Amino acid sequence: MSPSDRARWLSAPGLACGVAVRCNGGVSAPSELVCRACGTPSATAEVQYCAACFGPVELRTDWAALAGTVDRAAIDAGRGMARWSPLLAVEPLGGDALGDAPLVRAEALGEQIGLGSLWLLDETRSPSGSFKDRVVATALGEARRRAMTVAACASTGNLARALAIAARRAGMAAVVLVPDDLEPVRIAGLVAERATVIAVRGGYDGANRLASEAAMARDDWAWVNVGLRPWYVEGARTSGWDVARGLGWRLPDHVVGPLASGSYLRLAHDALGALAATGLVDEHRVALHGAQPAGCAPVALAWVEGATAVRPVRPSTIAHSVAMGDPTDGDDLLAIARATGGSMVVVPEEEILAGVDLLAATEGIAVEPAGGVVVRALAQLAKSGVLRADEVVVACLTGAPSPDSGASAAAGPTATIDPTLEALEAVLTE
Amino acid sequence: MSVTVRVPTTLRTLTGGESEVAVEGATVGEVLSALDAAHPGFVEKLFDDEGKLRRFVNVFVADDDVRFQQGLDTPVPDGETLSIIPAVAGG
Repeated sequence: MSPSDRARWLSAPGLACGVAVRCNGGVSAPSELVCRACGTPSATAEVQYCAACFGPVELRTDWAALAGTVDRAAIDAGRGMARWSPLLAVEPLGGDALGDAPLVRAEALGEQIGLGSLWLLDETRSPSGSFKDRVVATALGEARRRAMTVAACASTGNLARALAIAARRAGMAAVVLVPDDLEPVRIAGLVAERATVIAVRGGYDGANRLASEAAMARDDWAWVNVGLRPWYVEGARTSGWDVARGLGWRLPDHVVGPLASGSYLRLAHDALGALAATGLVDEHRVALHGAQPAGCAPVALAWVEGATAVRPVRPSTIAHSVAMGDPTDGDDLLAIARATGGSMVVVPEEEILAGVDLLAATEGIAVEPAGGVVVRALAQLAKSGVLRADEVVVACLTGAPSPDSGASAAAGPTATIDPTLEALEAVLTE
Repeated sequence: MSVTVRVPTTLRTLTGGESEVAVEGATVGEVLSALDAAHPGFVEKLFDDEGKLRRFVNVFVADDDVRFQQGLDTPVPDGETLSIIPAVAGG
C-alpha cells in the first residue's frame, strides 16, 4: 500500500479511528485489505483481486486487538446486524433493520434424524427472504462511502432481490444480471422493485463472468459481489456472530451450511473463531460441514476424492441458488473442513425436495431447495455418526422458496442477452 | 492469425493502459506467450511456478472457459477474442 493510498484509505469514514479510541460511538473495526491467497497487502481499494496472484482480496481485522473494546451488553442492546458494527470493517447500510435471523431449537427435526441439540439459523426471515440482505448491507455501506449511485450484481435470484430492495430504499439504481432460466415470478419481483433486469444466457456462471468483465468496464458502479467483494463477504460474518449470540454467547460443535461460491459458509464459520479472539466467547473448535446437491458438487466431489483443489463443473441442479460450478472459496473450504474435523456432503438430487418437506413438516419452516440439501446433509451426517446426538449442531437455512407461482409473472426482463460485454453495453446504452 | 486479448484492469500497466491488444497465436498457450513477448510480464502474472495458469485466473476463448476444453492447448480461431478474467466473484 503506497503512502498516498494509505492516507486516503485511513481517511475513510469509520476507519479513521484507532483501536483504543472509538470515534462517533465506535462505528467500525480497523482493518486492512490483504490477499487471502498470498498475503500481499492490496495497494488499492478499487480492485477486489490481488495484483500479484489474482487471489481474493479481503478485509483483515486484528481481532485480538479488539478484545476489551466491545462487550456483550452493548451488542445485546444494539439493533439488527448493526449491533455488530464495532466488529465490522464497514458500517452496514440500513443494518439496524436487517439480520437478527432467529436461531431456533429444532427439537422435532432433531428427533427425526437423531440429533439432541439441533439449532437452525433461519435466514428465510430476513426482509428479502435470504441472508443476502447482510452482504448487500455491508457492500452498499462501502458504496455509500464512495458516493456510488448504481448498485449492480450477478445473481441466481436471492442476491438480486436483496440488492433491488436495498438499492431502492437507498435511492440508488439497481442493475441485476440473472440466468435467463430464472423463474418468471422471481424476475417479476425484481422488476416490481424497479431493478433493471438483464437475463443472461449460459446460466449463473455466464452471468457471473459477464459481471466480472462489466465491473472492470464500469468500475464507478457498485458491483457488490465483484468489485466490492471484500466488503460484501464481510456481511456474512454477522451470521456466525448471530449463531454464537443465539446460543447464549458460546460456540457450537458443528456448523452445517449450503455452499455455492462458499463465501457465506467460510465467513460465517471464520466469524466464530474471530469472536473467540475478541474474548466475547470461549475458544472452541467448530467443525465446518458443507452441503452440495449432486447436480453441482465441485467442492464435495473434491472432498470425496481427497483432493486439495476444486475442479469446476457445469451445474445441473434443482437447487438454483447454489448452482455455481466454479466456487471461489472451494479450496479454502476443503482445507477448513479438514482442519476442523468437518466434512463435505453430496446430497442426491432426488432427495432434495424430501428435505424441504421434512423441514416444513417438523419445524414449519419453508425453504428453497438449497435448504432441503442442508436438511438431507444433516440426516446423512447424523446417520453416519459424524454428528453425535449429544453435540451442539447449527444448520444454516439461507433462503426462502420462490413466491407462489400463482402470482402474476407478467413483467419480464429488460432484455435477454448473450454473456458478452458488447451485448450488455448495447442494452444499457439504449 | 490475429487474436484480440482482453486485459484485466491490474494488468493494463503492462499494455500501456490498453484494455484490448492484438497478438498472433493458434492456441491459448501460444497467444499468451505472444502476449508476454509483446508486453513482458504477463507470464509471470498469469502462471504459477509449475507453469500452470494460476488458480484465480480464468481464461475464456469467446464464451468458453478453457478449463472445460483443452486448457492451454485450446485452439483459438483467427479473429477470436481471448479474455483474461479474475475469478474472484460469485454469490
